[in-house]
Amino acid sequence: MRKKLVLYLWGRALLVFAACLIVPFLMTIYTSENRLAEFGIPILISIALGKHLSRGDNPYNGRLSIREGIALVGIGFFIICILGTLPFAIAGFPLIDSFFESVSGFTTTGASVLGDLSLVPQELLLWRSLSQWLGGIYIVLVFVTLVPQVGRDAMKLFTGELHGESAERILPRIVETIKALCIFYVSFTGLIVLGLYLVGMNLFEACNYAMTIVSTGGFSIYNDGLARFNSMSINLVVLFCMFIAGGNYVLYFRAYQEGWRKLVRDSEYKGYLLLIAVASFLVVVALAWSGVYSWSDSFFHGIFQTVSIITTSGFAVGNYNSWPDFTKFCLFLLMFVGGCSGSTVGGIKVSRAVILLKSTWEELKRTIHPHMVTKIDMSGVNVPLGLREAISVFFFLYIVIFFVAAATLSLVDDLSIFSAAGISASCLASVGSAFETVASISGYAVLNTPAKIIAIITMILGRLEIFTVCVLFSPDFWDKKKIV
Amino acid sequence: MNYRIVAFLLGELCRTLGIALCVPFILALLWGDPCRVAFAETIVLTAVISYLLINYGKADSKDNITFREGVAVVSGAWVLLTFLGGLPYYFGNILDLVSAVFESISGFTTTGATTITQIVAVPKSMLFWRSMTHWMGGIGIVVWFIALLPNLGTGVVHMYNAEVTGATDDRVLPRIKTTSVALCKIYVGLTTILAILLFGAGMNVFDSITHAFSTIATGGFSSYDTSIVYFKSPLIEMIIAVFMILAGGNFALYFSVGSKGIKELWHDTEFFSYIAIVVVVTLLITGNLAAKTGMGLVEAARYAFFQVASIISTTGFVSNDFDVWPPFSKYMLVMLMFIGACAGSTAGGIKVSRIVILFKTAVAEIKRVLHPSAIFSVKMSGKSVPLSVITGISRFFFLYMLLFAILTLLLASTGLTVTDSMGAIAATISSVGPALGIAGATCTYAPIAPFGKIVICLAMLLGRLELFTLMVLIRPEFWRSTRNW
Repeated sequence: MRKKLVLYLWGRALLVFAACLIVPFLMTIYTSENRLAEFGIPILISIALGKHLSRGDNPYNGRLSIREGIALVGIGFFIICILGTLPFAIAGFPLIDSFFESVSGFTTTGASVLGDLSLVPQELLLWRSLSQWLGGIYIVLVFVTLVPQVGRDAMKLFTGELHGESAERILPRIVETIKALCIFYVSFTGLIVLGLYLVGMNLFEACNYAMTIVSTGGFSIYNDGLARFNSMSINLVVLFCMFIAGGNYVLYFRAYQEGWRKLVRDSEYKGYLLLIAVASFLVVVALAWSGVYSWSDSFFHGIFQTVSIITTSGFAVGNYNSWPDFTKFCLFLLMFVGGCSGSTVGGIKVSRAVILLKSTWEELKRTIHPHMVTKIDMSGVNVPLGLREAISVFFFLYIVIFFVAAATLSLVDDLSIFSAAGISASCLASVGSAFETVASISGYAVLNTPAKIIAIITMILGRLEIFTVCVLFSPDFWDKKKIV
Repeated sequence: MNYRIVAFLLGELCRTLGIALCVPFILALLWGDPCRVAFAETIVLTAVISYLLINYGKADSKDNITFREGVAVVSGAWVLLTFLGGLPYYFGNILDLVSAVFESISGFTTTGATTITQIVAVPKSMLFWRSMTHWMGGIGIVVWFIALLPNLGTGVVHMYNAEVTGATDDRVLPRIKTTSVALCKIYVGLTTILAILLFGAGMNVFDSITHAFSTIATGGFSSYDTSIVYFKSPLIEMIIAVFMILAGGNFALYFSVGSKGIKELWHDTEFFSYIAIVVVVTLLITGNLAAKTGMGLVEAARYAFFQVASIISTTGFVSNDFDVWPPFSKYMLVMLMFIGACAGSTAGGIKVSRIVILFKTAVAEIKRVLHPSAIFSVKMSGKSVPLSVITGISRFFFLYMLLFAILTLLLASTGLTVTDSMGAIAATISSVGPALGIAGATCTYAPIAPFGKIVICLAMLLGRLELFTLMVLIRPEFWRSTRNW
C-alpha cells in the first residue's frame, strides 16, 4: 500500500470538506457572532490537516490498488464523521450525541438525538442537512466511480453496469461520469429547492429539505417534521422527489443521453417500480380496511410512507406507529430492500434482491435438472456466478449483522423485540425512523449511551456496504507481508 | 410424470398409516376411551383411500421412480397422511377440522405447536397418538416405509433425498435400504433408553413413553398443559435436556461413532459447532437471567440449559415461561430457532452445518476482496465442500428468510402483532412449537384465526421438508410431462 498516496488524497478531501464548512460558517456570521467557534475551529483543523497531508507533488497516477481504495474510502469516512462531530460538540452537545448526529448525517440515515430542534441554532440545523447532502454525493461518487476500479464483484453492482471492464478502459469515462453525476446531483437539488419554494416553503426551509430529500437522508428542521407545513402540495413534491432520488443516477444519466426508454428496460428500475406498486397497494388497502384513514387519505399516506421507507429517507407525515401491525411489518420488510443501486439509498438494494430472487428461481430449476447449465440476466446482461455468490454472502452478512445489532440493543437498553429490530434494520439501511420506542426520527434521544454506540456502528456498517468494513478489520488487510 | 406409481406408493403409505393407527385404537379399546370410535372411523377411511390408490396405481408399479415421482410421493404423503392423521381429533370432537389438521401436521413435522387448550380433558389414547405422530414423523414417514417394506428399486433414493434433512448427501451405508434400517435402529434404541431412564426418574409408564417419543423426535408435545414444568424435577429436566441435544445430532454420525469410536464426534465440524453454540448461548442466557431477573445463578443455569437444548434441537419443551424472560434472552432463543440442530437429525431449522458453511464462505469472500485471484476452499470436517453445495446453501438461506417474511406478512394480516407473527412463524417453520406472545410458552395456537392456522400449517410443512421439496412444485418444468433430461 502506498501510504503517501492515501494520505495525500485524504488531505485533498479535507480541503474540500473545509470548503463545505464555510457555508454554515457564513451563516453563523450572519446570525450570531459569538458562536463563530462552532465552525471556525473545524475549518482551521481541516485546512491545517489537509494542507499538511497534501503537501508535495501529486503522487496519484490514475491507479489505485484494492487496499488503497478501501483505506481511502473506509478510514476517510471515519475521519469525516469525526470532524463533522466538532460543530455539535463545540456548541455544547454531549460528545456521543454529537458523534451520533454526525454519523447519522453523513450516512444519510436521519436519526436524531438532539432532542428539541427548536432549541438548536439554525446554522447547526443547516449543517445537519448539509452533512446528509455531502454524505449522499460522497456515497454516489465513491461507489459509482472509485469502488468499481478496485473492488471485486460485490461492489461492482453499484455502477449498475455488470461488464467487468478493466480500469484503463473505464478511466477516461470516469472523469466524465463524475462531472455528470455532480451536475445532476446539484441541479436536481436546485430543482427541488425551486419546487419547494414555489409551493410555499421559505428559502431556508426549502434548501434544508432539498438537501435531505436528494440524499434520501430524512433530517428535518422542525420537531414535527413535514407535518408542520400541513400542505398537500409540499407533501406531493417531497413524495415525487424522493421517488426520483431512489433511482440509479448513472441510469438517469444514460437515459438522458440515450432516451428515456432505457429506464423501463432496466431490470432494476422495473423491479423498483413494481416493488413500490405492490407495497403501496398492500399498505393502502390495509390502512383503508382497518379504518385508520378514509380511502383517499389512506391512498396518500400509504404511498408516501412506502416511498419514504423504500428510498430509506425516513420522512413521516402520519403517525405510522398507530397503524395496523400488518402495515408496520410491510414497512419493516421494505427497510431491508431499499431502493436502486447507484443512488444514495441504503439497504440490500433492489438489484441485489432481484438477482437473489432470480438465482433462487434458477436453483429450483437446477433441483429438477441437476446437470443443466443455467444463467440469469439483468437488463439483458449475464450475471456471472462470482457476483451471484458475493451477493448471497452479502445477504447472509446483512442478516447476521441485523440480528446481532438487534440482540445487543435489547441487551444494553432493554428494548422490546420489535423496537430493537426496528432500530437495527433502520440504521443498517440508513432509514432513520423505526417503531415503538423510537417512533419518530428524533426518538433516538431516549436510547442510552451503549445503545447509541451500537446504532452508530450499525449505520456505518450499512453505509459502507458491510464488505468495506469487514475487509478493513480483517487481519489480512493489515498484514504487511501480503502486499497486493 | 408417472401418476400411477405415485398413486401406488401413496396408497402403500396410507396402508402403513392405517396399521399405525391401530396402536392407539387398541389402547383405546383396552382403556375404554370414548374416542375408540373416532379411531375406527379414521382407520376405515384410510383403508378405503389406500385401497383405491393402490388399485389405481398397481398396473405400473414395476417402473422405477425418478426425481419427480420421488418429490411427488413425499410431498403428497406429507399432505395426505397428515390430513388423515388429524381426523381422529376431529371425529373425536376434540378440535374443529382446521385445528385437527393443524395438530396433526404439528405432530408429524415434530413441531409440537398445539391448539388443545385443556390437555387434561383429552383421552389418553388420543394423547398417545399425538406423541406417536411425532415419533413417526421425526425420522421421516418415508424412511420408515423404506426400512420396513420390501425393496422398491434404486429410484427410492429420490424419495429418501426429498425427505431427509441436510445439505450434503452423507449416507453412511451404500444402500438406501440398509441406511434406513440403521437409522431406525438407532432411533428405536435411543427412544427405549430414554423411556427407561424417565421411568427410573419417577415418571409413570405412559408419561415416560410419550415423552420419550416427543423428545427423540424433537417434537415437543407433552401430556400436560404445563409441559415439563409439571414434573418439578431437575433430574427429569436434565435427562430430557441431554437427550434433546443427542436427538439434535446427526444420526448417521452416531452410526460411525459405533464403528470408529467416540473421537468421530469431535472431528465432525458440525457436531463440534453445535455443542459450542449450546454452551455459549447457555452461558449468555444464564448471565442475562441472573442479572435481569431475580433468579439465582444455579436456577438460571438450570432453566437456561434446558431451554437452549429444547429450542436448538427444535423440540419445544418448556421448563420455565421464557416469554417473561428479558428481551435479550428471547432474541437468543429466536436465533436458536433459526439455526436449528444438525443435518441428518430429526430437528428443523436452517441447520448448524449450513450456518457454518455460510460463515466460512463469507470469510473466504472477504479474503477474496483483497486477493482477487486466489482460490479459497470451504472445508467441513477436513473435506472441501463443492461449489454447487455452497450455492445451494446460499439460495436455501435466502429462500428461508424470504418465506419467513412472506408467511409472517400473511399471518400479520389476520390481525396479530408483529412480534407475535414473527415469533409464531419462526417457531413453526423451524418446527420448534412454542413461540413468543400470543403463542408463547404457556399459551397455545388456539386463538389464531383459521386462515392463520393454515398459514402456519404451510410453514410447518415447508420447514420440515426443507423448502425445496415443496417449492419445486411451483416450477412449471416439474409438471411438464414431456421427458426427463
